[in-house]
Amino acid sequence: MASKEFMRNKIAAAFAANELDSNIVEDIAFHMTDWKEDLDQLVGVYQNVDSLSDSDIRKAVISFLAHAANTLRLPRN
Amino acid sequence: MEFNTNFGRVRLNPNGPDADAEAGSDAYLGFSIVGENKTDFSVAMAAGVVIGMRGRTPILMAGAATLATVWILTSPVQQGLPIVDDYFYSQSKHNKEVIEGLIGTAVDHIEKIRNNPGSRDVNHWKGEIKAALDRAKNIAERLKGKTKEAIKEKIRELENRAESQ
Repeated sequence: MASKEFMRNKIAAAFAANELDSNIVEDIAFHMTDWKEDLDQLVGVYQNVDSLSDSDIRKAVISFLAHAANTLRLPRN
Repeated sequence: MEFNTNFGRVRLNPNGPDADAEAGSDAYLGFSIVGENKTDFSVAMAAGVVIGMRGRTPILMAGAATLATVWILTSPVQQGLPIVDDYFYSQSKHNKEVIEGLIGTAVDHIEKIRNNPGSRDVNHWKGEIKAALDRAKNIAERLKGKTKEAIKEKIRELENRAESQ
């Protein structure tokens, strides 16, 4: 997977192409990459679900949702 | 004579309790638990004590039988009932894990600020910390007792750490 900074720049460029305000573009790019570590954990659940304990699965899902929920609310604000 | 109780099948000692036997032993109590069936422990307990009244301080023994019966009938533990509803416990456990996740998110971002104090993302990270801790506080309100207070204290500590950065 590409580095977080590289992804951030690519996402920013993709939304800048829609001529959005630069602050909005920065917000989108920041939030869609800031949760990368939590997303990596969630991907780990998808890949190893058979070998993980209930506790490990809950921890990964909750960590992702704890971070993502705030991000997903932002477009309304 | 035998009864089914919450603790198993109880066999009464036909001679009643033996005050001279070892304290807490079956002979001392006047009954023994011999099986797995469950009904009303209080009946067996009271009957055992009443049988033991023969020839021994009957008023004291009758009082003990009454106290034992009232205690057993009013105690959820002795009746085999859960002290806290299972659903409530389950929700409480889940809420605590969600709070742990939110606190974990806040701590991660506090660390990001500490390790990168000059980053352009500091304000973003502060926003993430506030959002996570505000949600943790809301969920903590659903908890009870010492756990609730301990979590709220932890949240206050993290808010102070975030503000001081």
